[in-house]
Amino acid sequence: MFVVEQIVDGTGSASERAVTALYPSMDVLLLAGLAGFFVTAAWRTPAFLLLVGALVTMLVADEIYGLSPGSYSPGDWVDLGWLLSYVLWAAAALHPSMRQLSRPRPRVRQLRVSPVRIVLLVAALLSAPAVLLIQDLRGAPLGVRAVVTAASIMAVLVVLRLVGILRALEQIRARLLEADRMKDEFVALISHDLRTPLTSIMGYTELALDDDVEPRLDEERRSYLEVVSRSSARLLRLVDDLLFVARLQSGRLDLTPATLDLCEVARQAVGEAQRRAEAKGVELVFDGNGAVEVAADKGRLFQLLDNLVSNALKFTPEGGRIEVRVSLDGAAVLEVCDTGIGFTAEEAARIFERFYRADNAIEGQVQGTGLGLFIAQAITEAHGGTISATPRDGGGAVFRIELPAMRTAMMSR
Amino acid sequence: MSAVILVADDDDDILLLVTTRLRRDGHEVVSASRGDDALALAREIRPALAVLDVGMPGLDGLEVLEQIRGDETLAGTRVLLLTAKAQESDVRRGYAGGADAYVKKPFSPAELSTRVRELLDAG
Repeated sequence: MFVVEQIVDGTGSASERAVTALYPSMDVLLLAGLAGFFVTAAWRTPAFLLLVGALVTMLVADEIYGLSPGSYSPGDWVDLGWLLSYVLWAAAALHPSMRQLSRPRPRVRQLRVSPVRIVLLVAALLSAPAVLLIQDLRGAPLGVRAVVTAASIMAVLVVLRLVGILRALEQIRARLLEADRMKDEFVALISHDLRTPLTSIMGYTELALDDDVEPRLDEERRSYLEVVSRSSARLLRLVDDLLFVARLQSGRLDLTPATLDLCEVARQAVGEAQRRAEAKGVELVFDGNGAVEVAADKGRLFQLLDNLVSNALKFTPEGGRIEVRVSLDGAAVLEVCDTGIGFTAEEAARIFERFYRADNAIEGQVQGTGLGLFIAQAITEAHGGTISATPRDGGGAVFRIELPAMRTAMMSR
Repeated sequence: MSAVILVADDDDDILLLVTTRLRRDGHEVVSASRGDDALALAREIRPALAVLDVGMPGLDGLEVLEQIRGDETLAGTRVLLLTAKAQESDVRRGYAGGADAYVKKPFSPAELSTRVRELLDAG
């Protein structure tokens, strides 16, 4: 507003006066634009902060100049403000995080721009120069009131627009919070309401299969109930896996690390799977001795090893061989080698993706959800380790886990 | 020696499942489907073991456990908690509250039977 007097009293041409009037208006528009950015996540980037710094410096210099335009001469101190502002603009443009500001963000849905909004925006941009132009064309002297009115309209429109944006964002935020709450409730539902009926299904099947009760079941009925038993065990496994993945995604995988012997846990996992391996006619051997100490959550580590051994067992046909090896090679290394159906080298990279299933697994109609290896990877990485899979020549695969070993970890400290 | 066992669960099917299994093992079993009823029964019959579901109306399993542990006349009662929640924090809370054992749903009746025998033998 301080420039208003100068515009009114000034002797320059209409275009000169329009430029002078537009000058601070442009600052206001820039500020509005940056405010728009500010309400998005982009404001944390250094480039954005540099932009704000540049604009504020420029605004301050403009205002100092606007307060007493008559006393300004080139080379004045005010020039320093503008110079600094230009340096900041350039720094913002050159800063690597600028790319983040300009990178297109994926839109959930296309925003519909109503014609009213376009009219408002154009009106906001044109109101001040329009008033000046009309007054000038009429040959009327530019009254202070006319310019102040035009600038006020512009400011009001800009503020209204910003309020609209902020309100829309508030609504989106409320919807996201609601969605997050519903997801948590859903996870709780899986945890409780799916387990309760499963308890009945599995429990009563077991009671029905109980040999101590007369009359004994005939073989046919027994085989039917055994199918129910196996299927419900599979369903429970799926429920647990889904629940685990849901917890992973909301970042609630809490580990209680303790010093464990990888050999011992692996031997335990192999022992647990031994009976299943014998039933399938697959040779399952463990190789490893001495203590290979790692810092890990016992329950999760067992889940990880059981997961890998069960996976190998699932994909290895009768007459095959699975070898679980534990060794100390800088890191604590666990390898599971099988003579199973394997996968292609191209698939090796994707095999850990959630819900991904290798072609061989689908063709061979091997049952699974595609969650097992995703979970194995998540547990390994939560322990600061790495997991990899390589196909073997002549069929089969090698899964290799490396976990930071306690001894080397201590030495490097 | 057979002992009286109190079983409490708000799900009728699971209540029957647990009582059937334990009766087959030769135990004498009384049952309740609410937490407050379970507590009243416990004070009346002073069971050797209480098998409590965590999620129950009236009082939940953890609250019943707290009341039992606060009652000197029930000092000889062992407590086994059943829960459908898989959270480890629940297990920790249960043990902190003085539970003797914890069985997660879905459980195998045979496994429950083993745990019950262990608890009774230990007591």
